[in-house]
Amino acid sequence: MSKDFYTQFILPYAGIIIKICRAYTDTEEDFQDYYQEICLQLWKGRDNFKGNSKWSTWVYRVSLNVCLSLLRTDKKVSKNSVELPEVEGSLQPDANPFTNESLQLLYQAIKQLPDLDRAIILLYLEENSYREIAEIMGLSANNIGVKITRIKKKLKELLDGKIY
Amino acid sequence: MERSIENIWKEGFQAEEKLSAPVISNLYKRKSKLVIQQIKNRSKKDNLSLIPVALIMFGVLAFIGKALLGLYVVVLISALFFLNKKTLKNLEAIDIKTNTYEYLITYRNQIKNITTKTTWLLGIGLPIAIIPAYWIFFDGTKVMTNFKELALGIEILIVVGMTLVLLLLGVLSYRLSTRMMYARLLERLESTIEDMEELMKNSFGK
Repeated sequence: MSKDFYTQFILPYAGIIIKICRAYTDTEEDFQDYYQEICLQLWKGRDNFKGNSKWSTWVYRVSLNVCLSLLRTDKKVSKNSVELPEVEGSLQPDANPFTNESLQLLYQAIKQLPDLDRAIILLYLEENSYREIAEIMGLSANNIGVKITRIKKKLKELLDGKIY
Repeated sequence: MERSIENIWKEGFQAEEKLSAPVISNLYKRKSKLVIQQIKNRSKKDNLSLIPVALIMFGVLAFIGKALLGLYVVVLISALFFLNKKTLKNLEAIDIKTNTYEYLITYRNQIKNITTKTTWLLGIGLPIAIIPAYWIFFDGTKVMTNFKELALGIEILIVVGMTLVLLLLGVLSYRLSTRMMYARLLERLESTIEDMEELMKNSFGK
């Protein structure tokens, strides 16, 4: 990966990647691993981007695919009770990755959602249209609308008494 | 007043200070850890599978009245089990803390060394181990009586022939089983190393 590619095509979208990674990780080490893996996949898959959609849509799609795939691998690894080699850095959950308390609570609630619902609500909160979310997720726009209503209801229940 | 999740999100990130991108460093650490962990797991399972094999072999041979041979087989398989265990322990000692690329290269070299050593071990060791087993199995039978009646030259020829066949079988079966069990994992290891080498040509390679 060249520095130019990182500066031009990844760094301006780092916010998107960070928000997604935070929703799928609990430790600072995992967060950094997921972030780096997304950067790598964006770089490795750069030739697959044909310009049919916006680059940001591509970034969302790759980021979510990487997170979901890593999450599946992690679950599989943890199911087989594999002990990963010890590496430097804390494996303790990052208790407070955000300074804003309400945002922190919202993230905690989002993390309680099923993996795909997390992706949908993140895309919705990032103000993507139903059509864009449908395109990224490979679902129909109508289906997305129904799902978002259901997810928001669930989030409201999870946050009840904490923020509302 | 009720706050919507949309507002919490928007306002939260407007005030958020911790949204700076992490430094890209030591890429592929995670992938490397996982590939190596999968190879380790497979090797451990592979080695542990020797225990039931030894027990079944002993049971079958004892059942047909060849308990001594069964014991001999158990000793051989146990020796192989402990040898593998020692080799796996040496692999565990390789440390990722140094550098991910070097870690993978060291691991790959160790695997190549193990493969070469095991090929030699099986090539030479298998005939040495199995010919006495044949002896024990056929001892006191008509086959052995007939064998002993043969001319010394023919006896030697048969033993050498059997040795060569066993050598070939040992090496081939080892290579085949290794390919069946580890080929995909080793390909992943190779492709990770190749990716890292490509990255190292650029600024983020370290």
